[in-house]
Amino acid sequence: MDIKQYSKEVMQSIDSLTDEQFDKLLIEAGIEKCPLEKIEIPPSFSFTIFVSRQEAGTYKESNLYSTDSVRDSFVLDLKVA
Amino acid sequence: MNEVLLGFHGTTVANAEKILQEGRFKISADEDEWLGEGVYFFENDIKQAYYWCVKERNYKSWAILKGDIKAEIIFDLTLTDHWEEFLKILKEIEKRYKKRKDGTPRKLLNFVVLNIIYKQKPYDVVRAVFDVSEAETPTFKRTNIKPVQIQLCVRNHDCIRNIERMECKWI
Repeated sequence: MDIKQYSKEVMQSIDSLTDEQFDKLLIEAGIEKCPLEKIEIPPSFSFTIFVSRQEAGTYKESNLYSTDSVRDSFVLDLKVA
Repeated sequence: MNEVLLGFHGTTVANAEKILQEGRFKISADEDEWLGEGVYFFENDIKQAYYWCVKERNYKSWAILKGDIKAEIIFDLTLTDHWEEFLKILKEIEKRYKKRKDGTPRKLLNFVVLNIIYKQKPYDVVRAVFDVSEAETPTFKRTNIKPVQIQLCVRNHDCIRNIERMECKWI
């Protein structure tokens, strides 16, 4: 079997279909049994920082109040001028 | 040029008797059928057919049938050339599918892609490796050699010849 020729003919055949024919083909092939694609939504969150540092310097702060889903999942570099 | 593959098919005793009587297998067309619609066999490996019956399906009374599969057009996904062409077709179908305005996009599973390919240009058999390394095997933790199955999904029933019920005294 010449796979490259076979593949070329399959792709040409798909290309030549109208949108209606392509939709019909998808349904006949069982697309409706496939799971829906998950839509990736970037996580959004809010947090509050209580700064008690008074001396200038750079501090690593990880003990932040944040939403449960992101609690302790990051460290903030805090610069006090 | 025709190639002859040896396949083993596990099923219930009742189904096996029906298949032998009619000389025809029932075509599997569920969404579980990862290689699309067709008759499924384990290539060269009778024990996989046995495990399919007793571990996967928990059949109480089972039988294994052997068939010679004489095929001309084999879409052989164990070969890199075939695998790469499969990916090309998959990407083309996906690209076109995502252009559709209506409906929520669905994951294009293997069986849909293979069903589309077959409907555009029929082939006799699709051949692919199925990784069974997740199954419990006593040697798996000690080696990186993974247990696999070679599965055959026969689309053209006329390719299936010499169907016989196997004696399984070795079990």
